This record gives sequence, C-alpha cells and structure tokens, in this order.
Amino acid sequence: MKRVWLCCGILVAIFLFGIGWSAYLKSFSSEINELIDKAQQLAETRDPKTEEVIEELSGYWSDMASLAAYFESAQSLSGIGDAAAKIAYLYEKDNDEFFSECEVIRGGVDRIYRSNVPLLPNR
Amino acid sequence: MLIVFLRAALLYVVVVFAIRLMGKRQLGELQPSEFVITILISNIATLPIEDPGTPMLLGIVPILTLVCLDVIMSAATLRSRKLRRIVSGSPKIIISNGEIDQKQLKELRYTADDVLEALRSQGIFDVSEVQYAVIETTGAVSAYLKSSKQPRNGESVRPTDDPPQVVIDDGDVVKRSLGFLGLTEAWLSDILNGEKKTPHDVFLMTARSDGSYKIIEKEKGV
Repeated sequence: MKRVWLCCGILVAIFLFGIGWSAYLKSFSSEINELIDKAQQLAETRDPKTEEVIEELSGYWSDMASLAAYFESAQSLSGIGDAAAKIAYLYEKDNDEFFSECEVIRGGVDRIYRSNVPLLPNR
Repeated sequence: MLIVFLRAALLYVVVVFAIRLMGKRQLGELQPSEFVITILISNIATLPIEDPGTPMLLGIVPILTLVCLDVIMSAATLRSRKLRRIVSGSPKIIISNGEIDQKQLKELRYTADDVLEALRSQGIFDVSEVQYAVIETTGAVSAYLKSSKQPRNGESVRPTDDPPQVVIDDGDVVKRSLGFLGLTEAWLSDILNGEKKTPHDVFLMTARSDGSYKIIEKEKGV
C-alpha cells in the first residue's frame, strides 16, 4: 500500500509541477512580449532608452534559458538564444533585421509556452 | 562523451528504481499492461541518452508516470475482479477432455502447432492425455493431465478428472466456476453456512466437481 501512495505522490507532484511550469511560461511569455513591443516602439524612433530595454530583454531571456534548459529541448531554446544575442548589435548598426529577430524571440517563446499546454494539436 | 556516459548511468538508476517500484510481479511472466510499460520504458530511456539536446527530465518524467500509473492500476485491479478481466483478460480453456476447442483457438489466433509446442515443453506429447489446457493471461499454456495419465506417487488416484476451480476469489463468488463444475450457489451457501463463514471471510476457496473443496480464510488486517 505504501508503494501505491508513493506513486500517487509522485504523480501529483509531476502534475502540479507541470501546471506550475505552464503558468510560469505564460507569465514569462506575456512579460517578454511587453518588452519586445517596447523595444520595437523605441527602436522605430531611435530612442536612447532602446539599448536599456534591449539589455533588459537579453538578460531576462538569459535567466529564463538557464532554467528552461532543464525542461525544454536545446533545439527550441537555441533559436531564441541566437536571436537574443543578435538584437543589440543589429540595433547598434541600425539594421532592419532587428525587428525580425525580435519576432523570432516572440514566436519562439510562444511556441515553448504552447508546447507545454496539453492540447491535441502539436506546436 | 562524458554527458552520454553520465546520462546513461543516471537513467540506469531511474529504470532500476522504476522496475523495483513496479514490484516483483514484473520480474516473472508479464501481463499485457506490464509488457506495454516495459517496452515503453526501454524506448523512452534511450531518448535522452541518444540526444544530449533532450533534457533528462523529458526521459525521467514519462518513465515515472508510466510506472506509477501501472502500480496504481495493479492496486485497482487487485480490488476489482471486473477491472482485472478488462485489463489483463481471463484464462481461456483450449483443450477439454482431450479435445481441442478450435473456435477458441481461432479467436486467440493460436495455431495447433503453438499448442502442441507448449504441451511438448511440459512433457506432454499426446493431446488426448490432457484433461484441460488453459491459456493464461500471460500467454503461457497450463495443462492438467487426465487422472489415469498423472504420475503415481503412492497417493490414491483422484476420483475425478476435473482440476479444482476457484469459486471464491478474495471475497467474490466466481459464478462462472460454479457453473463449470456443475455446482450451484445453494451448494456454496450450504458449505459456507456449515463452516460459519460468509464469502467476505474467504480469501480463496477452490472446489472440484465431486463437491470436495478447500477454504483459505482471509487474514485479519491484510
């Protein structure tokens, strides 16, 4: 009987952890979207605060990436990491690809979140 | 290289823990659900080993989930005979009084060769010597020889060819067995009244068609 309770405990722990991780991804996704919107708006007018926001965005992703590496495949994280590493340089060079790389980050984070929501369609 | 080595070692520990969690039942003949779990575990465990880009937790979580579900399902089937029959199936008689039940064999997708091979592995070379042969839920074939063909060891020969059947299984009356033996529920209730017991007091009761029986009482606190 102890074995059954242990198994119930493990299942409940996995289930709760899964829910917690999905909720965390949802809030992370909306926060990073806000930062991307802000960075894109400021970048259009070449606002001096843009670099600050980009730095915040990169740092925010970097913290998340080290945590997500425990649960998400390296493939899904590497695309976002590459884009996050490029945006500061692209902005500095006034390259229009800055905006598309921002969208890569947005899309990648959204895909990670959606892949954790238990629905029948794949991500 | 080191990462693959460490991952393999860690997953080895997880799989050994998982198999231990499933219990000793797993180490013998496999039930259908256990067979599925074993195949799935062996497949899932290889994913994080083969691909270092896959997090270890993506291997560990499904293994633990499958094993835990299996343990919970085993506990549930222990309590419900109906669920046990759904999950594991029920034994099927394929030879009765020396005659092969061809319809049953067809349903089970067993060939005559499969049956003869299973009998030969038990030292039986003539189907007509078999009183009953049963395909167990694990797929193994159990055979019971006719009394005239059973080895003599000094004990008297049983007056009946029928093997004993389970008539009470952990408190539940198995009506099918009573019907098979040609006995009635009234007979069972007379026996239990005589023994001053109810079916719930009985862990296992077996009976033969001649009315002989054996009762194992439930242990208290189990």
